[in-house]
Amino acid sequence: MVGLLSDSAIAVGNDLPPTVPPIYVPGARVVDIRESDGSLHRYTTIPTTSLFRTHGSSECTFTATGSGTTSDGTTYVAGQVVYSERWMFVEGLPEGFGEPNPADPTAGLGALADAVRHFIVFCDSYQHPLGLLDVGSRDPMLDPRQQLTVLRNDVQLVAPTVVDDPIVAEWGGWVTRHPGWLAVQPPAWRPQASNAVTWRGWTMYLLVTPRSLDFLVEYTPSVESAVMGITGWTEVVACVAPGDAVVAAPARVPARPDLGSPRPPGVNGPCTVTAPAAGTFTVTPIEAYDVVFWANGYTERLDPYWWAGPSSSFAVGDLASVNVTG
Amino acid sequence: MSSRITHRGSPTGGDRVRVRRGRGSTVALALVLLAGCSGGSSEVVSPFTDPSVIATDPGDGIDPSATSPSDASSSTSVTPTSGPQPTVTAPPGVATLAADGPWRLVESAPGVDEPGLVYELMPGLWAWLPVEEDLDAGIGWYLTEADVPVIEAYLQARLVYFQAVNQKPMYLDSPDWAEWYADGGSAYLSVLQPRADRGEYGDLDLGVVLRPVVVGDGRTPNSAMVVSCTLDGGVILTADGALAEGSARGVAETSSAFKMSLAGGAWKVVEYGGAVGVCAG
Repeated sequence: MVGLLSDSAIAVGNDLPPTVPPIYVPGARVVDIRESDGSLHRYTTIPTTSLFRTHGSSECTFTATGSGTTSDGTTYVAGQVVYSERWMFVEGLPEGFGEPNPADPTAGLGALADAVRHFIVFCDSYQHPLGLLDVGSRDPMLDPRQQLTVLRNDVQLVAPTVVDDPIVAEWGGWVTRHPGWLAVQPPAWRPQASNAVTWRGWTMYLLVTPRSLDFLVEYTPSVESAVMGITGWTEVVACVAPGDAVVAAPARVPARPDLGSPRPPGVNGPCTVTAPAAGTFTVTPIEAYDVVFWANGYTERLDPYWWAGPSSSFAVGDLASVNVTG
Repeated sequence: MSSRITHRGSPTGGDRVRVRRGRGSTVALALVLLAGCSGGSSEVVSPFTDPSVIATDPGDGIDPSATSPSDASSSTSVTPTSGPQPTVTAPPGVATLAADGPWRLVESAPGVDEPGLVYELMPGLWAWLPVEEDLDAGIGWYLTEADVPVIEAYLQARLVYFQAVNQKPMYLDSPDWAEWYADGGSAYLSVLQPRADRGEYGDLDLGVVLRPVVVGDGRTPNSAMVVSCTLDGGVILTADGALAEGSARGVAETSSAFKMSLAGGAWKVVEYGGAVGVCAG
């Protein structure tokens, strides 16, 4: 009885068309990324959490429609099933994305978080396409944020420098109890862009826009003032707050208004400070910038960037003394 | 955003010889250099892309252990090129190597039937460089202006090696080693010197075709890795002209990887060795 079953099974098997065994091809996943110049470069180092690593099962597969050769040189025939560890991802050509506009930094294609790159998936070789795969900008294989340090190091901002109040030109220094105006040179108060950095198909910029302006003012009394009991102090003089409309003048930002008559010592309002007695003012401008990361037309706001410019020192004298010596 | 894959043209036909690959095919070149090899065709490597030579820690993508079995088992039948070839001009608009380099653009090289630039570096030694993407032909990378300095330095370094080996006796004292290899070629020379002492020397025989590709891994403005699936028809001969032990005639596909670094305005080879999977396409 057993032998009969066995013979029967063999007989049935012989009635089937001849089969060819599947082929298993060892290999590694590769990603062909389209660089910014349009050419492809191959990458074989793929982070474990990347979609390029996790997509699909361990092997891709195709059924041959004709004879051919696998990536490891194995020949196959029509109808043969090939299993290959060699997933291949090849990026297509992106649409144009233009240039960034520093004056309108968030203009563009939308949020970087929504950006995707488009790949065609092949199995084992370029001859066997499987489909399309969209990969987001946060994928560790492609995330342009990995280049932020490079971009930040590449930003060449114009340093904010204190512009002399007109009173300095007129009297040789600041005048006791007369208010002075703190401002920076106009080139330091304008939208600026980093140089372009390209990486794995991204063309990237940092776009910085002036956000706020403060001055750190340190007053040091002269020996004579100190003898009279005047003490030094340090104040932060707010000048431009975020969202303020800023009026620029050809020589300074913000433009200097008429400050009027003598004021009490100290901070007298936005950008305005008055010395109590003879001594020295040391003034350091602190400018904050809104920062937008621009990558292939997509944008993302980053934390504001604060930058202290070089310190400037100004002599402070009494107007009477100035008249006497003059 | 949409995308598309370009298929620019197709490989030209012609009467040149195609590489024939397959398991179990005859290994064309045989020179066992790997320590501990038990012999056999799958462990045969080329003298000209010797993966046992490792300059330093090979790092990503470079496998110091061996040529991949598929590479070593590949073979080709090649019609050797004889006599000087006419110099040709590159198609307009494509990146090319410097005109004053130690190479000249020629029409073809043995075993190459895909479109691209073929440079002759010395008699019997060529480099094939694709100039446009053609996925149907298996071509992803092609020569761009950005990669030209890398490829030129790579070829200069390879030329130093082949010029040294392909002399009878081998000439290992060229100052060019120091110019193109960060280690002065010491890793190569440590392997070549015993051969030179025995009077062995290289013969390009059926020819060697370098097929370098700059990969994306590790590519920065100051670093690059060049891999090549080389068509290697060279042999090593003994002092009396016989095939050196382990050497055989024919053409094998061998994989190699060269790490390049830009320092002081010049690209140099900083690591080199065998590689895996380069010939998988």
